[in-house]
Amino acid sequence: MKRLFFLIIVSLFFVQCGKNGRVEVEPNDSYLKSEFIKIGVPILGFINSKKDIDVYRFKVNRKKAIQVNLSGVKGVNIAFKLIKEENVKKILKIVDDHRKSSPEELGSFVLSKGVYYVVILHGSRDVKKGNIESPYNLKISEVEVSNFELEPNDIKENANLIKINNFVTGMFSPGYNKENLNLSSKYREEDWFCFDVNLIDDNPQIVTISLSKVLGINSFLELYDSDGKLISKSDKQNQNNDESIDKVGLKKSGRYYILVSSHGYNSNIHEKYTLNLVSSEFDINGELEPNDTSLSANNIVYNHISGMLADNDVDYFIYKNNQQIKSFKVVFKSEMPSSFTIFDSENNELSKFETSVEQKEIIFPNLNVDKFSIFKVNSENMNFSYSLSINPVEIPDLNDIEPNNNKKNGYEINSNKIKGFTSYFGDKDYYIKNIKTREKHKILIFAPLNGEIKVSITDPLGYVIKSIRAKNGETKSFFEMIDLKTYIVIESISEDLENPYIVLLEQEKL
Amino acid sequence: MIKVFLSFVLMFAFVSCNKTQIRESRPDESFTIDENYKIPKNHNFEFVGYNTNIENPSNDRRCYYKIFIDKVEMGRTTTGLESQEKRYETRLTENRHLVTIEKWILDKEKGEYVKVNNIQQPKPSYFYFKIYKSRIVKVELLSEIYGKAEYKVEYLKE
Repeated sequence: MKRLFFLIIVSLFFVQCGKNGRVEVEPNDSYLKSEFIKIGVPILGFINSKKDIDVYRFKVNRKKAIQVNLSGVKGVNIAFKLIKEENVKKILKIVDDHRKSSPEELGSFVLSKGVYYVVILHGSRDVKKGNIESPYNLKISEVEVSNFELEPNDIKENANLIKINNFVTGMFSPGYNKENLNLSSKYREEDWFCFDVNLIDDNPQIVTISLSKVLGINSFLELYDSDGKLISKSDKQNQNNDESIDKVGLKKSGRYYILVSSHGYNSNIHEKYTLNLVSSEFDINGELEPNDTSLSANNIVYNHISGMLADNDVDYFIYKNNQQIKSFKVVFKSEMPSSFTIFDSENNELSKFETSVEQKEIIFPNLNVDKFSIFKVNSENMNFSYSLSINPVEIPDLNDIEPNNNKKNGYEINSNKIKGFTSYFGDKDYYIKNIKTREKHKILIFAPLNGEIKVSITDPLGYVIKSIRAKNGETKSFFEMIDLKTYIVIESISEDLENPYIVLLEQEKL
Repeated sequence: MIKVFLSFVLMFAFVSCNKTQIRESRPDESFTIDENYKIPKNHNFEFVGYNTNIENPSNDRRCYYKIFIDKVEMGRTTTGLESQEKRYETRLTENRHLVTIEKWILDKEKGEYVKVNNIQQPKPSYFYFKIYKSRIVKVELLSEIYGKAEYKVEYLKE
């Protein structure tokens, strides 16, 4: 009775196997004893002991993309290797998700003509053990792909060559590259691509590299020159985001390398990424990445520049003030970046503007720079294109000589009239007034037409004695004693970039 | 006899007159000109204030006094340490006047002067004085840490 029951069970099992394909024939634990399988025909097998490995062999007659699916085995951490038969056996991929009972997958892997092996073995984690009750199902199937990455391209030397103004698709494979022993990216699965640049004239080649988003993947993109120097990168540090290196200017002919990879060994074999490489015309008024430091700053040639700020991107520009213009206005024809900073030629910060969304222009009524200054455009959590122009402005009788934001660089006035601008929120203008005796003065304030200021008079040491606020064109006055020297401090409560404030000092009789 | 008496009366009158000249140092006879008194040029009122009992420099704060004359804010003294003389001068009409003062102390953290609390304000915070023609009056405020104040008035001499 027992025998009959066993036979029925075995018969049922084989019937079931028949539906799903073949069953492995042991021994198949070496390359020599490997079992031949066909693409598209599944095979069942067992990891029946802690030492068991199963080796399958298949043939590829022409270049094609395959997908490998290996079902999970209950309680066992299984993995597989894809190996190519060459002079030596070359490991193309190790797929191991380090989990028990879970399936392993490899998607859209392009193979050239040749003989390949799939080796089923235990994963590198967990206690190795067999399971004679639960078989695995291995299936290698052909998939349709175009412009697909050609694995193995895990290292720079094996980078896939792509053409400019072309695209390539690829996959964040669920593999660990055991040969990647780089400490910062140990075992990380990487896809390398390369392209060639041949410069015809002195103008740089402008390229934009974009990587599409893939569900569940926190990807990043890096661009290197042939010496391995990082030129630019894009890393939004978020899952389900695309990445882009925009309008980078390549100034040398030669080969450049693109690295595509993901953080945290994320993988997705069901959704492809698309990597686009597009060139654009060199524009003398356009930003040229990388310009992330003052040393790599772009020149502003015709008082105009446009650029693009990715997340946490920083752009530096040099403005050559050949005409010795002191008063000028920076007008944004786009949204303002989160901050805008000006440095002198020795990289000393002159003014920093934390800009507001409504703001469109910044006036520099009197920037004390002789030859050139460096502009830094900064963005935080923003991603937009901008365009700015620098226009000279004529402002007569101006005392506001920036930087005058503290006592040390306060501007000494010889007349009794102060005229200046609230250039930005929180701008402070310090003026120094020296007199020969102790005098009583009437301080007459004319507020900017669309702004608010706080005017303070200090003792000779610069400590505030009295303050008064005035706004929207108001006229206010107060009396105060001046003990030989005073600082007149004008603080911007709300800025008015177009209309100046005026403060008059009138001596009063005692 | 009557002549002798008249002579005595006249002599007494002259002597009295001389005595008045001497008392010219008393300002209530302002109609007379005494060369011993300073003649006002720009100002005829001086205010000087300081603390008298500060011994520890760490308690010696920078300050000034705001000056109100007849309840109108007129200005302020110079700034200085509490122990130092801080001065204010102005020109007032001949009359009896009320000076009221307000003490302001430097708050270094804020970078500005703030009015001290009532406990530390000079007490009393006012003083009445009189301005005479051709006299300069000096009102001196001597105060202690917790506000106890004493005023001195003086008509300045050469």
